[in-house]
Amino acid sequence: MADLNLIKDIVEYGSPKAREAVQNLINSNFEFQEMLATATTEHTVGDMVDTLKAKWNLSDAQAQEITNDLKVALSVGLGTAAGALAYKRAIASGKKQPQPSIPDLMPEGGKNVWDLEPRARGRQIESTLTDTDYKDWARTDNLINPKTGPPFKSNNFPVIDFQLENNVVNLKTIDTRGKGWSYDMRTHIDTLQSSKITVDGIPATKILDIRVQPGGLADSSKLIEYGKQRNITVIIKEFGG
Amino acid sequence: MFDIEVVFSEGLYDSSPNVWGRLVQQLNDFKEFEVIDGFTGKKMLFGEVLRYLKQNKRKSFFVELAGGSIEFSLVADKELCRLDIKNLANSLEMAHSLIAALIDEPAFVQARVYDAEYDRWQNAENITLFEAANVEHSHLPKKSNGLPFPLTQEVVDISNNPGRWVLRKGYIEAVGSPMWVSKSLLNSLDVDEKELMNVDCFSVENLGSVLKIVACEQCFTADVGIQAERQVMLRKILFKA
Repeated sequence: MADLNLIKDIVEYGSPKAREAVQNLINSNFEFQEMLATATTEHTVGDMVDTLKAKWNLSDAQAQEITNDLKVALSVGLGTAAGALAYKRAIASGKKQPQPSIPDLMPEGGKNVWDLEPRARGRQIESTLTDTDYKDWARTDNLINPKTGPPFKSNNFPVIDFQLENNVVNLKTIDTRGKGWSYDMRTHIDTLQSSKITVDGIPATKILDIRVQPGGLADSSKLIEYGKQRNITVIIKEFGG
Repeated sequence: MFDIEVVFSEGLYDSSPNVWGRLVQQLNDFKEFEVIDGFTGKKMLFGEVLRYLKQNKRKSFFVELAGGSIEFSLVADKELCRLDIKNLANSLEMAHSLIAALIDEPAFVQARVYDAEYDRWQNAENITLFEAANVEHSHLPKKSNGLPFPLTQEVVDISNNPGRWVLRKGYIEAVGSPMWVSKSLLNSLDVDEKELMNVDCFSVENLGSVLKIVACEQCFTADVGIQAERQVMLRKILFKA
């Protein structure tokens, strides 16, 4: 049976892409975060499922389903789409009731978008900018990638959000008051720089549009130079405030 | 501090542990240091890095140590790999020894030693960089970054700066003193080796497949006077720019 250490290894030693995928899961799944926090080296998938079973009062059938899906997730790697999907299925199948792991896209009345958890914040800001700043750009969710076929959720162009002529944009949000964002952004820029992206066969101008919280401009400015050395144009603006 | 920039052909991207391996002996002074993986934040000992890179099949790396960093990555669209050693070499001798460990690599294209502060401000275009560092920029020439809305920004025009660098396909149009240039790059740029050797104010050493050029007794630190003249002359001979 697979060891939970595999998950921890993916987080600590995995490829940047795998780490990013797992980090997203951690950000969006409180249960997963909790499991990692309490995990020990003796834990196995079975132990994890037992914990979930007790926590959510699952039936044996449900527990078995989670076990199977987690095995798939671990065997193919959480960094892969199949692995992440299997993990999500495992978590989803264990829920007796819908879990509020991903908050509503619209902030609650009066709540600042920068108070949302990172994934919801990113979606909220991207949604706003799609209708405003980027209204004349093509949103890549609506494009068809010849390699992957028709668009499906957001996996057709994983590192691009918008395209206009030869410019492709990846939009990210950073709260520079948090921890770990510089590691994440370096990983992200590395992914962008090592990807060959073309528009009509011509290498695209790759732009990373970063929106930071009011007052966060100075902290994040080093990413401009970091990106430039790697042929990524980094534009940073404050959002809100 | 003397910063180092080394360019390799893109084929080296699959061999990043070899690049690290070449540097290890030269960085013996740091062998007891704790280092941080700049992509994940993971801490480890300097001596563990090679195994870590191999174990995780890392192609890019960003290792933070002793207040500096060693960064290796692929710039896919420009078909080159770059190695940057920042804020670590405290003498020109140390910079020399690091580069000497790399120039016999068949994928080696070019290298230079440079003054980080001078290089930074010669190449700073984004106004945010000036404002974040409280550096006056009103006297500097400006132009549009040429990007469509919402990415349009006024930037500093660095196109006449003697210390500017530009990413080109397979190489970086940059000058330094000292700098190393492979003969294969000189051939592809159609540089007359004899003309280079005959420039009175340059010291050019033939190292086999690489030429070492010393255009100034110290690293370039000024964009005026004799230093500016040397940078312009060197750029003109090497890059016809």
